[in-house]
Amino acid sequence: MMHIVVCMKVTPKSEQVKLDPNTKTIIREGVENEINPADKNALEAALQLKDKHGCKVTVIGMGPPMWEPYMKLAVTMGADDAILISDRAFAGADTLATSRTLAAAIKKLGEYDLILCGEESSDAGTGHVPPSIAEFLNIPQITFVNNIEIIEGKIRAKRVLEGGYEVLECAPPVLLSVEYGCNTPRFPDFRRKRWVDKEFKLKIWSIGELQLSNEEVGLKGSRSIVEELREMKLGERARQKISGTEDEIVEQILNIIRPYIKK
Amino acid sequence: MSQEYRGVWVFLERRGDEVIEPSLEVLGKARELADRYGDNVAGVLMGAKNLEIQAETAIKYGADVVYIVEDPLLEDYSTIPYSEALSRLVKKYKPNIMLYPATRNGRDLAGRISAKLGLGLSANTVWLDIVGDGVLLAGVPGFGGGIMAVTKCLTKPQMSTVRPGAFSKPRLNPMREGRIEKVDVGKLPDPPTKTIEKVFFTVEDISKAEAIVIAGIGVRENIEAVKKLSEKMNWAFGATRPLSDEGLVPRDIFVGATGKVVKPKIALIVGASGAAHFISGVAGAEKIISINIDPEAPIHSYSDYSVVGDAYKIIPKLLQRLEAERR
Ligand SMILES: Cc1cc2nc3c(=O)[nH]c(=O)nc-3n(C[C@H](O)[C@H](O)[C@H](O)COP(=O)(O)OP(=O)(O)OC[C@H]3O[C@@H](n4cnc5c(N)ncnc54)[C@H](O)[C@@H]3O)c2cc1C
Ligand SMILES: Nc1ncnc2c1ncn2[C@@H]1O[C@H](COP(=O)(O)O)[C@@H](O)[C@H]1O
Repeated sequence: MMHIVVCMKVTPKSEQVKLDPNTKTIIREGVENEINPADKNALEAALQLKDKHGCKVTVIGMGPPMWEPYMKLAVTMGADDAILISDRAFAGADTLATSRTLAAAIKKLGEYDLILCGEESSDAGTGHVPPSIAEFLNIPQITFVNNIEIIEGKIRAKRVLEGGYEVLECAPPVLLSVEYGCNTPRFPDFRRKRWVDKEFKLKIWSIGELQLSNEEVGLKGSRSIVEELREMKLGERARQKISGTEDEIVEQILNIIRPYIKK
Repeated sequence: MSQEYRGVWVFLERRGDEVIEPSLEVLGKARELADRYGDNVAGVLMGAKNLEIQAETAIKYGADVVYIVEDPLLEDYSTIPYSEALSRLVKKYKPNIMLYPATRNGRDLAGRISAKLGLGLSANTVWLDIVGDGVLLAGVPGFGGGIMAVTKCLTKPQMSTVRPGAFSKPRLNPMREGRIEKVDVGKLPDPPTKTIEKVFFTVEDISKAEAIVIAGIGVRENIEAVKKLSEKMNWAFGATRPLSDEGLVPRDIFVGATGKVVKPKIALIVGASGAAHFISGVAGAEKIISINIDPEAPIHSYSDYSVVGDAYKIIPKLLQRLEAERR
């Protein structure tokens, strides 16, 4: 039976995130969190492979204890196991330290065939973690895929590129990053929810459980640092309202766009 | 000045015989950064053979040197041989800065190199600056583009992937001269992946459009009318990402943080809510006019003119009026 590992993180909803203009730090109060949208698609892709081929699905995430309900939610959706890698030592990690830590945790899991990540996280949006994990594990990668098949024991993935796509085939183990929006994540299963609430125990691994030193993880293990946060003006606009009857609205729109219409 | 870690390098991604535009944009920025602290610009070009013409082009766009690595395994982009070849080059020449276009291949490659060489890497930058003798500051957009983190790498080369469209393509200078150097990096590993199929479409590049109509999920049932409107006015046609995820429009016309960045003189946006991941792709428009039925939709505050109204009623009327004016 194939073992699929899904790397999943929890992110604040982008629209709700604001910068405190005085302290230049992110205001976290009152901001809702969610499973990183692309990771939900990665999880769904894993669960579809499980439905079809009977794979085992393990979800791992490196983050603070408050991620626990989201890790459990992944199990309620259909994952077989979930592990939260959580330790103060991991705080402040850049993509390099994050990938190193996730790779060490995946090594500890033992045998695996497929690692699925999201294409990118909605907060940092780097997309660099998946290829870095693959390098640390010394396995192949296929990034930005929107379709995965298992054919005669091999992994076949459709990789979407600018202006086209390629279909690649590879023997496991291989890491894939899954495109946001490529499938419709399922709802949690109510029967599983009862089992998860009553019996499922989330495994929490601290740094002691991994073959890593304090210097290799978190801020100390990072090779890029954030100097400052700035608010990006996504556009100061006139915000003029156009109103009236539909015909009047259409006339006003026409007056604005007419100079730009090429005959 | 120490001999170690000099040069601003750019990964020159190819599509067939051409260096892709995002790489040229990065090259232009690299030139500006290098001039600021008196350094050279080098391009890295990999492929099977005959790369001299592209190398010449890169020189005319601002490179002082182009390093060429030729190997049959480098014909098309593939993670393992490309990352192996590039990391050997980087170890040999020790550049101060290594920039990649933040295309899918560029990100695939940069993330791999970062782990291979233990280097810091800033992602998808939209802003770059030099302080002191070649210290790179990189602006990384977060949360869909609402916030920018100014980051610094602690290792050299200081690496960054650069958002396509963030910088403009430099002007070609036919008189510029430079040096081409072929480098032998030794035997490369075979790719572990086999290519079954590879397809490229010719698509209109909406990123250069002077005027654009953009459809959101709110007009899902009537995309054709919106498209027709764009055709009537001779404007480009774009969409939000969910429409392309649902397969209702081609992938290469969605606008936003993970899609195209457009900088038109005017954008008419219909049935889009104005999510941060979308807005960051149109924020450079000179004028935005939007139609959305929900008065609370954030798109209204990102617009110069906005209509709270039903696009299904307004679009057909607009089409009628435009047709009437034609006659
Ligand atoms: C990692 C990541 C990357 C992303 N990258 C992108 C990206 O590059 N580009 C992108 O677009 N999105 C991107 N997204 C998705 C983004 O967050 C939003 O979900 C998306 O932009 C919403 O698209 P929309 O506005 O079309 O749909 P919705 O948010 O559903 O908005 C539809 C709007 O239509 C309005 N409407 C409904 N009916 C009518 C009517 N009859 N007339 C007028 N208005 C009507 C509604 O009021 C609503 O405001 C990304 C998300 C993530 C997590
Ligand atoms: N802290 C984390 N825990 C688990 N997975 C992660 C973490 N950070 C990144 N990932 C995975 O890497 C993908 C890309 O993240 P990023 O490179 O940060 O954009 C995400 O979609 C996740 O699948």
